[in-house]
Amino acid sequence: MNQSLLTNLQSRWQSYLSFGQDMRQYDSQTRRRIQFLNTLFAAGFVASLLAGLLIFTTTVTLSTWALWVGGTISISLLWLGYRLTRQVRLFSILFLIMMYLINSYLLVWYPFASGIYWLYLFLPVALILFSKRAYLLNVVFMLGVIILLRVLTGEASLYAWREILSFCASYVVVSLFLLFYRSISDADEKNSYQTELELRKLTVQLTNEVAMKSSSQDQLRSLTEDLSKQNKQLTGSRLALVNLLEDARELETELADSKKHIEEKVIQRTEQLNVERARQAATLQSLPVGMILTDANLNIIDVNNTAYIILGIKDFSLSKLARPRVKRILKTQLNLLAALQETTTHQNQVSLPLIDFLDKTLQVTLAPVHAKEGSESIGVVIVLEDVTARRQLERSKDEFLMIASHELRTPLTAIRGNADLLEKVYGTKLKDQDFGELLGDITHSSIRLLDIVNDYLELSSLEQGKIGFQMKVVDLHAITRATLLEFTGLAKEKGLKLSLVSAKKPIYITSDPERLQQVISNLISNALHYTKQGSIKLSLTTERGKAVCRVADTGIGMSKASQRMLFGKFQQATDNPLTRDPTRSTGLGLYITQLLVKGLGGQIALESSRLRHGTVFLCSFPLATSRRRSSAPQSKRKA
Amino acid sequence: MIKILLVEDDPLLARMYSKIFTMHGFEYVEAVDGQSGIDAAKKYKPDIILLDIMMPQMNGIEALEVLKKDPTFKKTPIVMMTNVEDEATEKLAMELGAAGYLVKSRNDPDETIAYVNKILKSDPVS
Repeated sequence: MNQSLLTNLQSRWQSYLSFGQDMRQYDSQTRRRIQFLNTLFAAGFVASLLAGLLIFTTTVTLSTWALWVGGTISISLLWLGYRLTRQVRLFSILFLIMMYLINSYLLVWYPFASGIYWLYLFLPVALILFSKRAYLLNVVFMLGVIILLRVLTGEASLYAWREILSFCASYVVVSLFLLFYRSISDADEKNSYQTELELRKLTVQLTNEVAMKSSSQDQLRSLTEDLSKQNKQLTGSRLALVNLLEDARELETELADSKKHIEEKVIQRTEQLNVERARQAATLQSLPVGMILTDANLNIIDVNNTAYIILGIKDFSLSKLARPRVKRILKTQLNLLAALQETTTHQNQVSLPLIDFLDKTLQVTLAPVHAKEGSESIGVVIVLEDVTARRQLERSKDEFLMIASHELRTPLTAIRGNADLLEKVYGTKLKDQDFGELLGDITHSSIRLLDIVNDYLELSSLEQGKIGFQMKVVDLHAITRATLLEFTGLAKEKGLKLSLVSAKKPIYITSDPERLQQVISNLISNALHYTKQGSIKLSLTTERGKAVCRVADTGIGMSKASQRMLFGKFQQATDNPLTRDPTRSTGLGLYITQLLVKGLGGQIALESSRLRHGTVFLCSFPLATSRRRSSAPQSKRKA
Repeated sequence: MIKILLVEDDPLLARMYSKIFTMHGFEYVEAVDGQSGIDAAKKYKPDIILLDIMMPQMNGIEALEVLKKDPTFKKTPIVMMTNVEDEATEKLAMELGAAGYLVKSRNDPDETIAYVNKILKSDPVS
């Protein structure tokens, strides 16, 4: 317990020594001064106390003693209070006020002394609060006053020298304190000045630094601005890039879409094309004729199944050699190269004469193939038709015709000829009328029969194109006249007038003279047939580049119904086939005539006809372009 | 009298024509087929030969060929007398040297005579 109290006191003493001041801010000299001052003051305080004690012991005046103590304490407090907080300062001032009050009380008894004390103690102390210099002045003043008073009054009780000494001692202490205080405050001031300088320096530095900092900050700011600008630019570019990328991506998607769309369309179209192609191929395959598509050098492009079959190639779907075989056949066995060349060079269709191949007869036609109208030719299409059956049929027909022709006509000719002879030889000798009639009937029947057979056979020949026309330049006028002459006898027999009206100059047409005569003959014969009385007039004219021959009769005419079916086969003069034709014609006459006229390159028509008023037939032929009577190149024309 | 040779295989017709020609003052000779026709022609040397076409063994065309190859008959007019009314046959006959082509069934006796006379007139008889 004693130990800790000692330590406590020690620490308190140390803290008192440096009381109220941060010793670090002072240099060592000042620090020592402060400590000395504090020690001195402590000593002074103690001395004051001792002096007080002394006073007390010697002159026992409570008031005086109180005044000393009070005074010392207040000085101390003031000194302390000056360094301390305002509260302590306030407290010390309050204490001073208290002492003043006490002193004021004492003034009553000791007015003079209290007054003096009050003056030299409290007032200067109060002055310390305000001004150190004022206090010093006061100290000097009070000393002066005290000494003066001593001198003046000479009162030894109050102003004993020991009182003065102790007073002086305290004054000295205070002065010393003040001195030291001043030095401290000087030091403080110096310190603070130094500190201020340093502060100022630091402030300047700081300002500089701040300036620098601000300038570098400015730089930084400008850099930052630049950076931010660049950043903005970059951001802008990035945005643009992003936009471009987005656009690109969109385009890609679009492209993919349209590609898909196109692909779909292509697939659709391909399917359509495939379907069409399949259809075409099927159509081609199902044709009853063989079709071979080749190029200009007989290289096979396409062959349909019928062609293979016709050419006798059975394994065409399996064999790869099928096509070369076809080519070989076409080239060597059918000899189509020449025809092919003609097709390609002249770009026209070529029909070959019938070719016998294996056991068949083939009709071969070649035609050029163009992709489009007037464009390059793709190649040649060869059509193979198996006409074996047809040809055989025709041959049979031919044979039949020939045989029929001969077999029918031979006996008919015999009948007719003999009947004729009978009439001629025995007609005059035998007077029997019946016999004559019988004979006449036989003759006429045979003639009629022969005519029918002849007509039918001729018709067959014409229809089958067996009749050829030998065309040359002929004079229609001459032929007409010659034909007319042959009928004069018959006309006279029937009592009909036969005449020819013309310009009396030659009319040249290209025709077959024999057939032409046949035509005119038929027309005249018809006219005579159907005319009971009156006349038959032939007229020849040239109209619009054509030679026109008209045969007009005054015969029985035709009804409208008959007119409609005039040139039909087996046409009779009556409408109803069941009604017998009184004129007993074969019904083929006009039909044959029409075929002949057509074959001769002309036209035949009924110009007019009225029942019981007569009929006019008209046939026309194109005028020959060459006026010369020399034979024009003979051209065989099939009817 | 003009000598006429008819080569015809049908007896009916042959008889008919013999009457016709005799009636019109021709000297009439006949044969029944191609070969005998040629023999007859060689034997009788007619002024005109009428040849049927449809005959057994050798037909008229063949006979015509043979006859015309023979210089004896070079000048002799040979008329084909037939019912074969075929263009090609007619042409062939004419090419082989026939003087005419008569279709029996189309010509009555008078026409036949007229035709023969026409041929004879255009071809002077030696």
